[in-house]
Amino acid sequence: MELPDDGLRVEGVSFAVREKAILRDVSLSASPGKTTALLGPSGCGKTTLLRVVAGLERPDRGSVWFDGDDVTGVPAHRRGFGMMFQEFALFPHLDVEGNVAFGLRHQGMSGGQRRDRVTELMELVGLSGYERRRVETLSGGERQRVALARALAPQPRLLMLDEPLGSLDRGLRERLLVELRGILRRLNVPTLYVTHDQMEAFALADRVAIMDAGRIVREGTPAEIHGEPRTEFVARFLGMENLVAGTCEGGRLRTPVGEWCGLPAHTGPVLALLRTEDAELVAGPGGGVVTGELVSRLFQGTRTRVAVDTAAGRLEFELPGSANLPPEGEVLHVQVPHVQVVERAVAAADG
Amino acid sequence: MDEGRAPVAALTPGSPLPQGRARGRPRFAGAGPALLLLAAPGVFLALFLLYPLQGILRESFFREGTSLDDLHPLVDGTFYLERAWFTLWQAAASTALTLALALPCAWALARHDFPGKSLLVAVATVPFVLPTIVVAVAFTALLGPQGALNSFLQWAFNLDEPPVDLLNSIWIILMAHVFYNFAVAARIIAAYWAKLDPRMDDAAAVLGAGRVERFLRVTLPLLRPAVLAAASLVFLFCFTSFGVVLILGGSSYGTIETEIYRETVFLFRLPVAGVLALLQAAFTFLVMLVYARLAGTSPAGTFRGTVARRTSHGERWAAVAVLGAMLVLTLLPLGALVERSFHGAGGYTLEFYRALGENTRKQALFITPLTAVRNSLTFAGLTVLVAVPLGTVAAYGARRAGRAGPWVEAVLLLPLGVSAVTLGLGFLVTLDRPPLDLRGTWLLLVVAHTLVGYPFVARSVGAQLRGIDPRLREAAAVMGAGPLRVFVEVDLPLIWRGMAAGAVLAFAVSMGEFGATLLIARPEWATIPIAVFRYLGQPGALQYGQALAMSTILMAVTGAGFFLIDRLRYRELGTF
Repeated sequence: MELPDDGLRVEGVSFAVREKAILRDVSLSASPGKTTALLGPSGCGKTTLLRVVAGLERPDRGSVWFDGDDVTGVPAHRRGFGMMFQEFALFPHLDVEGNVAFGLRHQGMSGGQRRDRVTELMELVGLSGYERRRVETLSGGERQRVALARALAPQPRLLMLDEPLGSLDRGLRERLLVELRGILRRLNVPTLYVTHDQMEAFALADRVAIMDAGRIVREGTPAEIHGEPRTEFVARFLGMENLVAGTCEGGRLRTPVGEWCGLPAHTGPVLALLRTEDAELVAGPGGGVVTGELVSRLFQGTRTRVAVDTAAGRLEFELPGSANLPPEGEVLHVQVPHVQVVERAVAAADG
Repeated sequence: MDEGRAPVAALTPGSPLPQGRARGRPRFAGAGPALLLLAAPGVFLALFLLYPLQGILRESFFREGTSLDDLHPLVDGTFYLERAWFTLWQAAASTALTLALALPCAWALARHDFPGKSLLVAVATVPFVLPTIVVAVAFTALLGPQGALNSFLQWAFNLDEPPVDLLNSIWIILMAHVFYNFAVAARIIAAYWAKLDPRMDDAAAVLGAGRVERFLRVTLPLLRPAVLAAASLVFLFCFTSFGVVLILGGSSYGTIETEIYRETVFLFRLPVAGVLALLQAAFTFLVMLVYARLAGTSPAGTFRGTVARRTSHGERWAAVAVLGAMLVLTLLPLGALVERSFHGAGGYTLEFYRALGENTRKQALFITPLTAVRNSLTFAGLTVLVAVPLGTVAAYGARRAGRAGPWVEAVLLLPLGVSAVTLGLGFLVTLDRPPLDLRGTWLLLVVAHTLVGYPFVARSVGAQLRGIDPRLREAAAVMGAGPLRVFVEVDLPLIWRGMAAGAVLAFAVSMGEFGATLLIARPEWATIPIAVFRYLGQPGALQYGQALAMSTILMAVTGAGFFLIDRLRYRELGTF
């Protein structure tokens, strides 16, 4: 793959703490004006990758490049990157202005210019007039904004956000997500966004990189990844749990719950993902129809979520509307139009 | 201050024990009402602390036949002003030097983990619990004219005269103070530092701040409460430093504390000594308030997440170097003391230890070192016998006092805020006449030692008490156990560690008590520190050798006692 010369490029980075591999041969890039989300379960190495990019940790192998320069050996304070930490790590001994202005010392600004910049940022994050407030008097959402303003103040060449919405409650998260998206769009700074929440990643990012046990296992646009998870890990991580073992032969997939045609050329035993999109209730068995006993149903307004016990275990589907469902315990036939083959997860070879 | 290492353990910040459930409403089934419990320690404090202090006040201003003219020496000339000034600046300088050394150690301890760390910390803290007399003698053994350093230099460079002459200089005083206090300062700061969110430093780095700037603009301001707590504690000790200044400073240097002693013992100007003692007590009380306010605070905004972080090789080596230097600084004077105690005119010998049974001065006022050892053990044993029940009852009383608990506790710890010499002076002027005439009885010594020893018991038992879930007692009571059985079967198994630790500390404090004992002990009651002091004052290699040997024994006893508590995993004391 041709790597871009602009923006961030991480090449083959490995990192271990006391013999324990945290990052294994990670490569990644982030172009100007684009937001790249690092998505993965907790403990997969997202934060560590961010720390390596920031210069807070030095990789055992591999290199970090920015705008064509190798910055692997450059200490954090000379990189000119901005970072927003998990739970924000605001300085408790400084007020809001002190926090936001902290990084401005190295910009060769006069006191007046610094104050102007702080005012400008407070406006950007919607906290005008908060300059003299003490950090501990701020709410979670306000802290989040101050942390963002602090990271943006020195006009970083690269912005890193580590679970910026992680510690906030749900309603606030959704509101701030929209705001954050607006701010990131306005700034033309390459951004790395770490999160374990797929909703956040898909909503904010231009590109998503999914991490598992220290590796990047998938990279692409949100639509690409959601449309085709490709591996069992990604599918499960995105909440697609309808995985059924089967065999493929000449574009034909046979599973204990049904048969599908028109799959790309696979031969031999495979793992099939039965997608819930466009699934609908049908009268009886047939091609591409899953049959099983209705275990539970959850009416959600426009859709109904059903769990069905089949020959391949429990599967879940979302059916449109209230869809004349039989009572629980009865047999159900569901037409599943979209089926994909995914790569089976293998147990990590080394750990 | 002298044996007064004391306050530390007793005023130590926060107990590591859970406080949650046990706090709140005091629901004690097994202990009588608070007032009854506090009666014994209350009477003890009133008789042996407040009454003597009042006696000093009376002696200074209200005694019949005295007039304010007796205080004339105080304002006559600048002598006392100079002493006060010296006391102040040597304490400030000692504190500054101690902190300068303690900060790197605190960094190494807080930010690095390695095998043997707790052992290293325990070893480095030993000086803090050693009697001042031992530290003073150890410094003469290291830096004195016949000290290990001079011996080595003379041997190495073939010199006829000892090249280093530090005895009776300000430098040796400062060094001894630093030696005494830096490990404790490091422990206080390190305990706080370890709780700081390391990502504060990371955040500052990403914002463009280099190493030095990060330390000055982020780490140091965040550490402020711990640094100030450590500073006020060290300042307090150095301000009332007695044994170190008396022995190492000679006649040229004197603090207010040594001046009180001089006025009392050599000049017999009790009113002057009294005014000095009261002024000093007022000042130390203020510093103690500062310390008490700051001790036990925790940094704001602690991050609970885990971040994989790695220290660079350079940093690890720096930490190893710092801690190595700390260990060497600790062991050098103590090693010199032991080495010199075996080093006679003709090489290594057991001569000084063999002579412990002899009164080498052949004077009636002198007792043999062995007698001093026996005296010390006797007094220390008696002190433990009184201090342990008294301290335990006091701890229960403070616990039972509910909301008033912290105040009660502060009052119970009052003896630690009064300097040793002041205490001795108070005893001298009040307990020699009715209504309380203890003159001529060794009870006087036991009372003095108990006064400085029992707060340790109260403090360590109190820490254990906080850890007892009151429901345990209730459960036992519901099952039919009477109050006595509840105490024996529920409380005792849980607090015995606190009592044991308190007993060891009270024992060590009694063994090392110097200032008060020096004022009130009759010649025949001389304890080890007093005997060491007397033998030091005598010319002659054998007498000096005997002082070294006694100091070595004292160091071994107190050091081993502290080590024992530390190894008992009695962490309450580990937070010095």
